[in-house]
Amino acid sequence: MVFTVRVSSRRAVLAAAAGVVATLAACDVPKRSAATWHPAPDVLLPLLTRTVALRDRYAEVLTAFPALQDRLGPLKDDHAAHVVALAREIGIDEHGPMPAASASAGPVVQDQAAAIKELVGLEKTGQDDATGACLAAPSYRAALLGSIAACRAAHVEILT
Amino acid sequence: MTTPADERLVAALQAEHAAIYAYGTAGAKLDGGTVGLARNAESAHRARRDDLVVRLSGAGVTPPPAAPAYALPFPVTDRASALKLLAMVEDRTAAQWRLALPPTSGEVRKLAVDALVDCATRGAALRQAAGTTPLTSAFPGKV
Repeated sequence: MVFTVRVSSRRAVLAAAAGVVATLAACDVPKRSAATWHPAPDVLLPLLTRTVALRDRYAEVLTAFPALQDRLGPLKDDHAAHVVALAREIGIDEHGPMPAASASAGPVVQDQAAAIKELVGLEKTGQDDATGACLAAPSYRAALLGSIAACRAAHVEILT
Repeated sequence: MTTPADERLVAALQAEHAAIYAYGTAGAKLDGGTVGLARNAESAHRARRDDLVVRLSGAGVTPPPAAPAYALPFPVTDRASALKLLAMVEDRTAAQWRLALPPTSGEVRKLAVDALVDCATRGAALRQAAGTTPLTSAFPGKV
């Protein structure tokens, strides 16, 4: 008797599960609606915003000093890769609009050496930022954040 | 019982042993500024090795000793091949430290991230000295 009950309840569970799968499969869920699964904003959102700002500052410096392309272009590309990786991790469409910094970094300084020095400062701050995020992160995010910190440290090394 | 974190630290220790061997072997082919770079790097690897030995022993895990010799992926005959080897060694050591991040926390994760940062920094410096590009990768240690 008990056995029968178990079988029927297992069947009920399986049937319910199959129903859920069918419902999920039937829905064409837009990618962004995944955000509605998180009740609070992702803790990595501020890091993403600052990473976007870092990438964009490189772009501004390169616009002001195009001759630095060989030196700074690959570093800007590294930051762009971080933006994509963090957006994916958070569940934001990496091709869509990115969170923008509330304050502009201001115009690029006229002196090339000073502009690079400013980038070094931003990289150092960014390294600390990513290291802090790595130390606070759950296991599944630690490697990504550690690599971002290491990349920024390597940038400091080759710019100084 | 060995924890997943201990297993990753053992692997990191083995990478540090290999790095120390590589610096000892390649160092003789370096010159000028690269000698100082290599000397600092080797002593940093020794410090990490010593830290790991103490930590593992404290956790009741027997730290694996260094092998008497390590097979080199290519002959080291001159400055260029020496710098290439050392950059490769830094990349491989970075990879082991990166793997140590997920199963650790607190001060042990701090050790791992600091080591990953240092490997990436030295790797960039070695490639810069060698004149090879790209100097950096977006995700150091990711293989």
